[in-house]
Amino acid sequence: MDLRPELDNYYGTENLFECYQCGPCTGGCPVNRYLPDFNVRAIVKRIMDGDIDLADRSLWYCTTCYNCYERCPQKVKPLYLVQAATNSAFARGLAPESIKDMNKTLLKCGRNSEITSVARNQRQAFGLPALKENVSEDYKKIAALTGFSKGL
Amino acid sequence: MSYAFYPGCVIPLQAPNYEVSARAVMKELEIPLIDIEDFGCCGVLAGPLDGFTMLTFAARNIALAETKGLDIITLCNGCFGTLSKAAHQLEQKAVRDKVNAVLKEIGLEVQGKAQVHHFHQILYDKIGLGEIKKRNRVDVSACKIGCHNGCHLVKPSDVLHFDKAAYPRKLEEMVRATSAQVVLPQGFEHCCGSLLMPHNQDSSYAFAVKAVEQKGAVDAIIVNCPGCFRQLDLGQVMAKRKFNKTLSTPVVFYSQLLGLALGIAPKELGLDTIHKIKTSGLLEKCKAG
Repeated sequence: MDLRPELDNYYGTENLFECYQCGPCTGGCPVNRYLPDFNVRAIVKRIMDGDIDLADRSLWYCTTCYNCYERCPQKVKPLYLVQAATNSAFARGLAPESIKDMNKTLLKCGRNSEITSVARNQRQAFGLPALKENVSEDYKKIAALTGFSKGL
Repeated sequence: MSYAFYPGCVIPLQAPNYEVSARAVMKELEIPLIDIEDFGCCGVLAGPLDGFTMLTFAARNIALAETKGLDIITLCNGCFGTLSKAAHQLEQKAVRDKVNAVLKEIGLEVQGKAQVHHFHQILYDKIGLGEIKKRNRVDVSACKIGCHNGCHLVKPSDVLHFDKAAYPRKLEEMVRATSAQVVLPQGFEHCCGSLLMPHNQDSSYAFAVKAVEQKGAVDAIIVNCPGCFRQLDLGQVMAKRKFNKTLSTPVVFYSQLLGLALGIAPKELGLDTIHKIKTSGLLEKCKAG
């Protein structure tokens, strides 16, 4: 897949072609040490070459630690290119179900999870203020307006 | 000056020990907080799928603070990173206009006036280490501490402007200000692996184990993010099951250590429950000191 025509849609990807493939991004990447399939330098190269496989599951392994962003001498912001790739994958229906499920919960209650009775009791024991069961309908409305909910 | 208190979603439900201790410390230090019950997820969950939706979720929370004329104080590194990055993006009028076209439909408008602060920024920049030292009532100098900054308190450093990315030093200074010792300076920070959990559990826990082992022999590891807390605390329990490694270093929030030094009772700091690795050893040292 050639992502170059749609990079303008994404934040922070404007320095892509400054990349000279030096590699501190991958050298500083904690994920690469455990899961070598996730190689930031190679992902940047594939996007530059207009040939990235959006069905590749390893694209989703980024923990957003920002080490690549901090170390890149060319200010390429490799992390934002990885996110551009996963965003484009989502737009084509290629996102993992687990990530979509987390977001369905978010739209439902405005939080990462619903309030469990354990959490409710713990808060009460600590004397913390009670929480609203569902934060707001705003999340659902925003997601409908941006087209996000359609993709889920 | 009052702040809009932004607890996020992980802390109120999974790390109330952080919330209760941070509230207690801020009360002691006379930092007034305003609760806004409509605050929800910062938007980070949507980030991998749709950057614009993430930005709009974040902007909604910033707009809520603005309607009250307040700056935001966050406890979670993740919320701090997401909201700060959003505030940075919203400085551009073109971005703001695009976001406001959506927010208008829910009766909100973001102006980009509210500032986003992490709790630690307020402690370091506004309260100051001198004031913290002056207010210490309990000697915790017998405690040996390992510092785990977490990624999103400092990175991206050109947006967050809190500390240096490769070797952040402010957390160490803050720990020393409580009279506790920092035994091993930590240069390169190992990510806790929290966001790898949905994709690869074993590697995610391997991250956590590595982060714990890096700290060496200490009485406690200090964190300031609920993601790091769960990884490093629960990760030590999982280390036995998954890698047959025995680890038992208590993981506590800076607010809990500071609270102890300020003379707040451990029970009011949430130190007795929630923690998988028990904190009794640490508490003994505080008493002995």
